[in-house]
Amino acid sequence: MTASTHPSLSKTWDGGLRRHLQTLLKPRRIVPTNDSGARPLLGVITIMCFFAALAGESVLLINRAVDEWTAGLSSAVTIQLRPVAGNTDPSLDQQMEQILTRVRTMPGVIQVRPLTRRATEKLLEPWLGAGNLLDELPIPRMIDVTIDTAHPPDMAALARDLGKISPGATLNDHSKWNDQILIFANFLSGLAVGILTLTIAATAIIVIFATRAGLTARHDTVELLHLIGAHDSFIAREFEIQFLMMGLRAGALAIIAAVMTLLLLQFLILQFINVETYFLPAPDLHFSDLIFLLAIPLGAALVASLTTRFTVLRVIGRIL
Amino acid sequence: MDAEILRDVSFHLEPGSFHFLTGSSGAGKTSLLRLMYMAQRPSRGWITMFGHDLVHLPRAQLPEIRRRVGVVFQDFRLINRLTTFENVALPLVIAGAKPEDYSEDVVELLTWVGLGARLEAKPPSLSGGEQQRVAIARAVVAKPDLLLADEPTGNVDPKIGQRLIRLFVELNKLGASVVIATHDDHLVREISAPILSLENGTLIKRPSPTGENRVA
Repeated sequence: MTASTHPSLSKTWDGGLRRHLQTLLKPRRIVPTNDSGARPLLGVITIMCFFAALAGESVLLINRAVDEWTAGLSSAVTIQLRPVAGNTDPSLDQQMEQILTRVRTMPGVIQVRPLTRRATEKLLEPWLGAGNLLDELPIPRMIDVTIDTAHPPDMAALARDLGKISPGATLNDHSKWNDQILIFANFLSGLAVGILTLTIAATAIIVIFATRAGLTARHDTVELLHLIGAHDSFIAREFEIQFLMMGLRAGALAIIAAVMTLLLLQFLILQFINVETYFLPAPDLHFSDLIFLLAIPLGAALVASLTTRFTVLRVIGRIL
Repeated sequence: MDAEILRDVSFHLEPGSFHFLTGSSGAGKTSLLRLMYMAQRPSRGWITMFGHDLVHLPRAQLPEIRRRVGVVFQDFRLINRLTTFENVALPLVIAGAKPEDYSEDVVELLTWVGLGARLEAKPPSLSGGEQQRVAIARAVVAKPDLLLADEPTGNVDPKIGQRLIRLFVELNKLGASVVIATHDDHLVREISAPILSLENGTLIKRPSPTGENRVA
């Protein structure tokens, strides 16, 4: 059959039929899922994507903050030299010099910085106020030591040596704080990953129900497609593409909502919290955040389409 | 256990044959057609088609056999959200044909069945007769080796009915086997083809009413 052999078609072919055909050939989905339920479903998946975005962002923020905290703590060691009654020979200044000499010669030490009395007083100002410190008050001497975290010095040996030099000398390598922060941060990260996983699982379950409802509602169409020679994969693709598009749309809406939420949080922190003393993770957007957020629609589309495909193939596999 | 609708049904269709399937309502015409277009498998017995044992054929291989069978369903089974053009093109789309390869054929076929002006119309806006013509066009568009039609002229006026039957006859001349289930005695007499008559679930083969076979 060709256009040239049929008179009626030949007449109309040049008279706009070509244009008409182009309209006809626009791709159209053969099997709609559930027209009336599509919008609420989009809303639910968007909310799920939003939760997933916030959970994932939390993991990124926590990891970033922990990196900052632990990087500072693990490379810093503080030596404190307290005046001890009766320990006056040699003098505190001489004991300080001996400690500095010992620390400077240790392998793995990058920098040694003794704090001046003024600098130490400044550290106490938040508790005692400025200028309230009596000159006679014995203030511990402090030494900030920066160590090479890749090749750290032998802390146990240093602590032993300090004890020999002065009974008032102590070593604080912050490992206690470091460990606690890591435990807490890992717990928070695990919680966020758990929420993210549950959100993905909930989305998949919702999609399974929606797909099953769509299959039930379109049972006649599915049967017809089978009877005129459609493979299961063709029918599955019909559903899959719709859920893929829905996942992309929901993910895109969720990104917008998540970015707005993070910006709002950032604004509130800047407005109402003293930035200088603020030490919690700041919800500012980094490049890695943008990458993660852009992955949300792709992930949602992937979860929705794969779940749909699996569900459709499983259900229609029982039909002849 | 479900009651048996068909029993003692045994027949062979030669390639390129033309048969009417007759019988009173409830005799099992639609059930027999359903077995032939593989909507279900028989509870017992066997069916072979195009050299394949349909009773034991793996499910994954059914689509390839089904593509060689065109079916005009009694209830048309058109997809309401698709246009006339899209409904007719559906078997070709499923078979993986490209739009540029089939679009002209589909338009020509629809023009031939008198629906050239309704290419973009959707089934709900078509009359019963028009829907039936769309269903017939869909059944023949892929040039099947076997055409099964369940009351294909039930809703159209006699003139259009004759034209549609001519379409079946033309397809038969091209080599397709045709089985038309019908109540229409006038049609059976006019076309004069052998009859497969179902009576109480059993099949009786009869020659054409005129004693001659005008189509095969």
